[in-house]
Amino acid sequence: MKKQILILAVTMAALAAFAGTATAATKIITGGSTGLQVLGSALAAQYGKETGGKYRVTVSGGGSGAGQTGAANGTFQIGNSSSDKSSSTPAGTVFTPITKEPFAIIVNKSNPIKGLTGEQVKQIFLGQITNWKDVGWAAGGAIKCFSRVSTSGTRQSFQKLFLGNINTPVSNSCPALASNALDRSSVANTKGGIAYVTYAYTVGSGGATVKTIPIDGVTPTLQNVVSNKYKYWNCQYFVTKGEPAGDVKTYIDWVRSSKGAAVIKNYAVPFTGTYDQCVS
Amino acid sequence: MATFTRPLVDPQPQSGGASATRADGIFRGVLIAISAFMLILIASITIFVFYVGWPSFSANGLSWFGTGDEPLDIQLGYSFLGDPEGGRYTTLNAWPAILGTLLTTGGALLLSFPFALLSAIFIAELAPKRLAAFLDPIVSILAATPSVIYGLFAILVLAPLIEQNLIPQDKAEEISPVVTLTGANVLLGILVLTLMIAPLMIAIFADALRAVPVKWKEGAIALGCDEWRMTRRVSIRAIRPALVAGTTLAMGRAVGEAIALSMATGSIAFIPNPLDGYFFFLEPVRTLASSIVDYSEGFESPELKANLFAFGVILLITTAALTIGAKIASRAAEKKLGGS
Repeated sequence: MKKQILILAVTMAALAAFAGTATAATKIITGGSTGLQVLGSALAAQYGKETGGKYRVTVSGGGSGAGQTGAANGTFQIGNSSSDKSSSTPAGTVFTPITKEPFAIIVNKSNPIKGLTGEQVKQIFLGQITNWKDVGWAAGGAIKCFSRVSTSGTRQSFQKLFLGNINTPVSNSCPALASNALDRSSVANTKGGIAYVTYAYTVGSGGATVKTIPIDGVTPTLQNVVSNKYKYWNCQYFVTKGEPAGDVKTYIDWVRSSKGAAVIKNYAVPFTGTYDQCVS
Repeated sequence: MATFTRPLVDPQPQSGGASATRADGIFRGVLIAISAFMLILIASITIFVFYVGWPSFSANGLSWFGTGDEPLDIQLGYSFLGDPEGGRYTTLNAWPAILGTLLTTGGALLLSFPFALLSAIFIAELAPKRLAAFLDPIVSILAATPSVIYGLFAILVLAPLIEQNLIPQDKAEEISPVVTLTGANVLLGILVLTLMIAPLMIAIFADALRAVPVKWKEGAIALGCDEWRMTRRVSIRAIRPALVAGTTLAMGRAVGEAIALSMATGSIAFIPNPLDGYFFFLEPVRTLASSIVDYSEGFESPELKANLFAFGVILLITTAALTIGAKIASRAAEKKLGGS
């Protein structure tokens, strides 16, 4: 009996503590793009710290599509999206750009080529160039292109940036994998492999398992995006239902301020322009 | 369904008999409520899946099960993003995914059944007691290993081996405009499924073999059968219901496997060409279940959502049919056994 009372007391205390934190901080619920999850969490942590715990921003995944839908139906106060508006984007959503994210082309480490042109990348992923000997690697054999499933925000951005149109599909001869990470490990394991990934997948110990090649002679780095040399980048967005307002607006303004930029610049290039500047 | 009959209750309660009966009533009520809740839950899930998936069937009719002008991956892509002109796209011809499911499941069953049966005979009948005691838990652990582990093993360990050793580069070059040949393909899908379902089958078969009455076996030996003939004519015959049940259970797991096959089968809803000889098995497929995971990020498009739920409908019907079929077949086998 004593034990039961003890358990009851502990539960009550835990509930009280939980209720306490819930009332103390104002919650901002965000989620969506898995590509934005790491950056989103870093921003959330820093914002919580700077406001002295007054705001608690939660970040969950689900994909860019889920971010856009979630913003429209109220699941998220802010939906994270790594892709631009598409025909599936719910009406009435507003896209606020927060970063520019470079897209990179990776190949197997045994691949000797010094780089490709944007046009060559396009032809490879449209299935028009299928042998490495046509792009400067005589003994390379078949080009083994790896793509992403068509629902992927990364694929849509790649199609827009390299193939010229978000609706131009990558050749169906390229396996359509389920994640950036699978693309990278496939290229690492395949001699003739080539794939497109976001910048985050080209750095760190994982990035070192593959070779990131310059496009049109320019290496995809944050610096080269800032200086406008590398033109294959896409914006990442905070999506809201209607124009941002209230606490959500305060948070987005903070993210787009120099304080937010200080966090962002570890992961991508801070960008405070308009949506039209992103897609033009 | 369990029914609670009188004999279950202590016929001569020592004390508090009345309250025990009342407790019984409450217990029974709770159980009925829980079972009813489960039934309602299953029924509503089934209705929901059919309801959401229906537009995909109604837009395509019987050609849903056929092949189309556009590859399946392109169709799923259009149903998500709209066709190249940006219009709504509802066409779906799911044969490549159905074929992918049939090939991987069928191949895995063909490979794992003899393997599992022989392993079960070894573990249950031939292995020394201590070795069997060692193998038993290993089989159980393998049978319960989450499929994503097998998927990772397939893509990180087996795929590079297949890529480097089984795919001749000249053939890969010749075929590369049509399809990229990598280490992930039909063969790897069959191998990973075999790894997944064989332990399940071994466990069920071995349990059944152990339950065969010793008298029957002794009788056979006494009549002059050698051990192999005794196993063949007595043990294996006796466990036919378990063979059916175990195989069907394994088949259900194989048909519904999503994650491991999403990694292992090459990620293109390709239709392998039988004229390519053994290359047939080195070409990629994408199964019904793995299409659902691979494209699940795109549920905000109603067309794609209907298509993926339609895949779910096929999987639901298949697994339900398998379960019912197994019940009937295993009952028939039992009846025959009892009569002979």
